[in-house]
Amino acid sequence: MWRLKAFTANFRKTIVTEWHAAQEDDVQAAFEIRLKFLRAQPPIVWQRPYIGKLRKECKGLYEIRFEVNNVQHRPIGYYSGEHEFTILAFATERDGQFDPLEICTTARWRKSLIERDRRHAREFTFED
Amino acid sequence: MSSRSRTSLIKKILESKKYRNAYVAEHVRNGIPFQIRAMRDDKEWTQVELGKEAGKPQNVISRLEDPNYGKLTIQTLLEIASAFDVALLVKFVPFSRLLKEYEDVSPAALSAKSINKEIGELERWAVQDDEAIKDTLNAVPSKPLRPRKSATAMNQYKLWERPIAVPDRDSDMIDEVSIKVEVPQTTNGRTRNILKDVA
Repeated sequence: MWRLKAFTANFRKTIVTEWHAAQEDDVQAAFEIRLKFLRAQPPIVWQRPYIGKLRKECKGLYEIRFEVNNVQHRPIGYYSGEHEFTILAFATERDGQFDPLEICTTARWRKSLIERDRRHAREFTFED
Repeated sequence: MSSRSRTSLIKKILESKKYRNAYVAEHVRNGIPFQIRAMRDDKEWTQVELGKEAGKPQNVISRLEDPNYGKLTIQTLLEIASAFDVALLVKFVPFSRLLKEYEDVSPAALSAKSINKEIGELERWAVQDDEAIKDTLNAVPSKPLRPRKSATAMNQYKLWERPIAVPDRDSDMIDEVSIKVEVPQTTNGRTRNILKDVA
């Protein structure tokens, strides 16, 4: 069973809780259920098509790949420990490009904040 | 630890039709691909090997294991079921059933045993049923039923004297059982219909 965490700027609400609350109900369901399945899978399953390894300016980061109504959602994060994944930012992907374009810069900045202060990452819920 | 408590999940399902429709759809979209992957790993098959068993190229298996693909047909599922030698159950269920069914989505819970791994279980199930039938037929009523009218006619139908196994009233399988017994001509020449309500 994986431990799933997310970045928090203020040590209270995580970016996952905030993002999730802003989504339509069908996107919420798709994200919740994908995480439910992923959480229960062994590490060998944490690869394509469920997880993508990012390259170039996004090196060291990974994306969770899910689609709702022809929109490719890409929560971006990294492996923060054994059986532990921390989500750093959210993007969508179209024609091989992230929206927002600079999402990996944001994600890397947040990762460095967590490495300096572990309180910037915590497990999240969908009912905060 | 789940990211949403049961209470919160039920509340959301009850208050949003859009959410519950998506909840069902996403369990199908994720459940089947993750289950195929779990069963393939359980057999230690590559996608190519599963493809050979199912008569499909590797890229088709790769798509079937992708929850984002989402274009599964029942025919394809039947072919995959045959490749794993497992059964396939496609049916409408109440939400309560779906919630319980997908409470545990670990590979062990998702994986279905192929028939050659459940022979013992199937045999035990068959024997239990045989014994239940035997018990019913051999049961002797504590107080034998006494024929009311024609002893001659009644004696031809010994089955009447046996207790009849009645399904549990709480069972959702059968609500009411009634048996209509046609009595042949009695000594005085009349035909009588007896309706025995067992329920």
